[in-house]
Amino acid sequence: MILSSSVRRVLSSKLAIACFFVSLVFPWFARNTWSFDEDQMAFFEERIRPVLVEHCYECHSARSGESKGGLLLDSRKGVTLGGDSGSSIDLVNPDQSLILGALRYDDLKMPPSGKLSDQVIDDFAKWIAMGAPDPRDEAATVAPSLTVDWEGAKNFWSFQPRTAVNPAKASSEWCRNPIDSFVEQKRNAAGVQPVEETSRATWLRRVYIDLVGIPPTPEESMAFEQSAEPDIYERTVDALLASPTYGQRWGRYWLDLARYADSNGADENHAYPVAWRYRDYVVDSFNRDTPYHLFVREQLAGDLLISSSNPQASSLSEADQRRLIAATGFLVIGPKMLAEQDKPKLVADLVDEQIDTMGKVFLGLTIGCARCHDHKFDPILASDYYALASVFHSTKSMEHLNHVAQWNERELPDSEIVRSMAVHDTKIEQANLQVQQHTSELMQKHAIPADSPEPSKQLESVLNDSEKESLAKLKQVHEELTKSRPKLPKAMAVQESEVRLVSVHVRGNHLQMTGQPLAPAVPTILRRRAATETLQMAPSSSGRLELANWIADAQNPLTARVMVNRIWQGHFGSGLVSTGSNFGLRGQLPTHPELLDWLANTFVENDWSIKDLHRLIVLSATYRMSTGSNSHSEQVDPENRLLWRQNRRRLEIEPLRDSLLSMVDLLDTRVGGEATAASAAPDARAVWASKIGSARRTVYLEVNRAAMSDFLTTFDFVEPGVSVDRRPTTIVPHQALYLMNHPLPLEVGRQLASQIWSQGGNDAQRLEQVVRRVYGRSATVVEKQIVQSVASSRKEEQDAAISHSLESFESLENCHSSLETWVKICRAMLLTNEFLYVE
Amino acid sequence: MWNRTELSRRAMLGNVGCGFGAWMLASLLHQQSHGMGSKALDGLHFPARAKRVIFLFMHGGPSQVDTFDYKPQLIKDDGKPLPFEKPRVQFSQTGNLLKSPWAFAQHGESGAWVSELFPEVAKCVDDLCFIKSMHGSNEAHGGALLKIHTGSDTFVRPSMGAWISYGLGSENENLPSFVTINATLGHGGVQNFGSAFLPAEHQATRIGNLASGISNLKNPELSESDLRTQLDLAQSLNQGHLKSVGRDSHLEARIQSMELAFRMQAEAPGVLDQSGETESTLKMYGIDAKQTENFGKQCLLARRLSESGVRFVQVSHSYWDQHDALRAQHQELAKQVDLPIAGLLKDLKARGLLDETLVIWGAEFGRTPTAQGTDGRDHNPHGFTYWMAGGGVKRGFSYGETDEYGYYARENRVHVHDFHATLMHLLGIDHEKLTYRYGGRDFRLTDVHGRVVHELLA
Repeated sequence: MILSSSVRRVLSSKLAIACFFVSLVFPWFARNTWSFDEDQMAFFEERIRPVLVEHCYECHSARSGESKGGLLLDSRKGVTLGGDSGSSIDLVNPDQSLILGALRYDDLKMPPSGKLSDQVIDDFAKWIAMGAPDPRDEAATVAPSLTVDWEGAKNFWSFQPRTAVNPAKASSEWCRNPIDSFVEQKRNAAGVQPVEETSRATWLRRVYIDLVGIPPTPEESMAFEQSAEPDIYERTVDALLASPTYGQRWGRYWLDLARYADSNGADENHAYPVAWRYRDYVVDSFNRDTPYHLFVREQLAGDLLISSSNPQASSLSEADQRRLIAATGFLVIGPKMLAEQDKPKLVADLVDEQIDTMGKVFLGLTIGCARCHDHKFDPILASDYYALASVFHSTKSMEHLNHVAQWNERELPDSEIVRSMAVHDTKIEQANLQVQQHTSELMQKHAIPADSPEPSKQLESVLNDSEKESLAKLKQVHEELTKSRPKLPKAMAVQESEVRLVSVHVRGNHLQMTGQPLAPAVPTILRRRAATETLQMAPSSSGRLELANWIADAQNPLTARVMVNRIWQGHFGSGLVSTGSNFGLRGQLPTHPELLDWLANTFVENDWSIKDLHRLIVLSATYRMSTGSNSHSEQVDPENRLLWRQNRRRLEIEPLRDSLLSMVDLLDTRVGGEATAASAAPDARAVWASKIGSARRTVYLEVNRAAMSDFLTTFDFVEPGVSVDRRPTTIVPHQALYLMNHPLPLEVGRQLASQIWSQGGNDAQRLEQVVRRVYGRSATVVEKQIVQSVASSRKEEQDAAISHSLESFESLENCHSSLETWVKICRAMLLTNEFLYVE
Repeated sequence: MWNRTELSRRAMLGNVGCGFGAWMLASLLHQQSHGMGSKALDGLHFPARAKRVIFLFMHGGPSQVDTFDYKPQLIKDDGKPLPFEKPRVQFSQTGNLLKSPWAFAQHGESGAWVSELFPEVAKCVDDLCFIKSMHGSNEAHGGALLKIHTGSDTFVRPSMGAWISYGLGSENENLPSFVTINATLGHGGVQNFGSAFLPAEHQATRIGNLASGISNLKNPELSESDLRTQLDLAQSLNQGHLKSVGRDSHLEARIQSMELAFRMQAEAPGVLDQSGETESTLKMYGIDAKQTENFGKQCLLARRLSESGVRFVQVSHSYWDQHDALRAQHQELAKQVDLPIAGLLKDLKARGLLDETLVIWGAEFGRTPTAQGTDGRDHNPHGFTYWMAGGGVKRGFSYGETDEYGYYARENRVHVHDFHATLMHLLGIDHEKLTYRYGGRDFRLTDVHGRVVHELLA
């Protein structure tokens, strides 16, 4: 660089960026800049300055107070810095200079009042070719938008390769696995002590809710508490991870990120009738523990993994192919302005939605911010954005762009259905023949010549009733067969389309492009090999597969880190990086960077197995801590960033509703299929159950973007139009109203009571069972007292009893309260904090 | 039984933590509602000129030049190109100037110009305080809605109702302090009435539509006393739990919110129930006519909630976004709201409530004086009209001006931040002092901006 570091700091980073590129490509060039002879300066004064003053200053000068497009042309610096579209002059390829393009009315069309003469344009070309001599030394006064320290950004932690870290030797018996060594080291350094290990019962409920979203049954929790097997923790975790209910729980986390919904939302809230195939793909992928790098590839380019160019493609079963096509639903299920009449804008917005979601979900980067200008905080250029946009502009996500546009759906291969279609077609043909045959028989019978005008009408008029009926029957058979012709299943999915490279859109405006069309390329900051790294691809392809491969590459510094952080967040309520989808400069720094890298390295080494990662985390001593407190730690680290305890978490709506249903053995855990309305009647297992609506797991309830179910939003379900990495937890009276008054918790409370009551026994035994089902543990003395206060009173005194003192009640063993009393107790328990929170 | 007051106070402290001053405000006002007297006002930064707010939000953006911002020059130059530049960023492209299809006339003693779209509101102009020079910064609905509701179109921030709830607390401990009726779920959705990083109790309680009211408000089986018994049982279990796990502001807040739920359950149905209103009142709000019934009921509900002490009530009306079909649609939408709005103003006045209630009418932005197609106007955040009435603002007054066509706010410009600052001021709050520390920074509704427009104050 020619500029001293101090000058560089003063200058905007945009110049730094410009110089950075220049120095990369032509390091010699800078030496020759800005030393000009008198003739050259005279050329500027005579031919260039007057034009600038007359035609440009009005909108691009400090004196006029205007810097349209962020551009100032009243100083050398302003010209070099350029505006939103980049530097206005290109000294390496003078002819490519933005200002020339604008003057020539190629794209920007400046000045807007009319094209200047060819002579003037020619002068500008000459001027730039001689190096743009310009004596105007005053600084550009408008600060350019970008304030990123480009050089510094390259050293930012998340853009660095992962470091090979080894866990410190466990310094105490507290440690159960390497995670704990990292955590302990950090904690010791701050002089913070961990709380005690949590009880078996609490750990079990925690791990059940965390991994499968359903509490343990009374039998399971009793068995676990009493087990003497040394590996009971490990075996419990293995069993949970092997259960299909695991994918239903963790698939939902992913669906939050993937902004999954069963309708479009936005302007035209059309139903997505087959979006569920993507949802099922996600649940299935978690259950089969698809290596994460493949999971990434499949969602971005599953269709291309099937193509003949993939050497493994030939071994793919049809079921695999169906999965891979449905996986790309990831790119299609976002909200779209279907009725947007500016169709190129619709497409640009769609591509933007895809880039934004992809960037946040897989890379933890807010790439979408670079649509209108270089990213304000992160080193992501608008040109980076549009190089990615070229990939998605070359991908077909929409079936058509008619008045109300239609998203893309693809048929899924299924040779069995194709075969049955063939069989079916034969039947249709036969039925058709029978209709024809019978018709001609009748025509003959009634002597209607085949070549008469409108023979069928004539026939109709002469047939008797029984003849009419026999013909109608045959026709009906044909019609029904035609209607019931098997169809290939469909999924929302993308496919390759014509390659369409786009150039930078000025301020994100699809009508105003500048510069060359950009070949698909990875963001500059993440380029490893050469500064010009593009996505190596066949000329006729979109580059989508290459992009997916690049993201899923073990060397990508972000991908594994972002994912292990998400899994961690799922088990602790907060990630090691608390901004799960923003690993950029405005994101939070990791609290335990070494641990994060060690986890990411281990993840990659274990073939990106998510289940292995869960196992590692939930079997750690760190995970096993209680949610208790100690005053010193509380004082030093109230936010628990050092992980000296577990975090208490409120149940999300899914485990909340699923727990209610499973507590009374009603939860329908079947896997997959079309979305169910929350109000849909359950399979009639019991008459009372008809009051509670669908009994399916909450992940299968319909997500209608424009008409979200009340109870979902009340309990902080995601806004399903955008990728959400962490749901908020609000506390509002409506949640209490739901639990107090909605038919589901009311019926569950009643049913719970009657199930327990019908088993006989005394109140002490019943309480034990209720507490076991609702909290997954044994009843405490306090609970016994409280229940006793309700139970032991005479019926008419029951209600008043609990406000009296708790002394001198007869023993709970001798009490046999009424069913109604137990209904009251059960319902009250469903209102409690202990049920609603995971310790 | 456990001590509710002590607990809720602890919960408040736990939640509010760094915003102690604001908590004091809330606490003092809370006491006032229990008859603790004028001392409470010491807690406010200024004497409050209004105690509560009703915000009539016209989602979509009614056109200022077709309603309250009379522009004779626009009529003269109909069809001509705009003689100055259009904004750098526009939502859509527009063509030449388009005069208002509606005639304007002067009304009241103040002589305010109002178009034919609002014949009933026109009769109330002497109570209105117009701001004709509002301007914002976002030309799209989502961003503009967030800007007007939260002060930020970039980040997730608490909505103004949440800030006011946080600052002032509730006047009625049995009702939420912030209610939104018929809220818009698009364009920022819940963020527009959410509490963001403020304690969750300050987010709005949503009343979807009047048929459903507040969902799950009624227990189908139990009497109120049975419910109380059940809740007491649950709360004693909660107390036992809390004792065993130690302090936790979330658990405490939840205990508190269950009590609020119970009280809402007892009180809200009465407030929501309009059957006790007289026929003439219903008529005043247009509840007797199909076209005005819906919005009329919502305005009446707003009055009932406000009367019962809800600090901030928002009523939203959709969808004033006439990129085309301006003539038909603006006409229809205005008909739906004109009479109910006038009814609300008259009713408040008759009940002596208008002095302490600030009614605000406005949208996320206005519309362009230039035409989109032949019968439409585009979004225009650069100059639009708001009006306020009651609580501490001048009557029959108009402030600020747009240019001769009504495109840009030109004189005495009032930015959205200025509007927020003024609103807070009217409620007795210094917008620079009501802050909340979050993520290492003190945040406020007006960010680092906002000027109290003293000229508006009575």
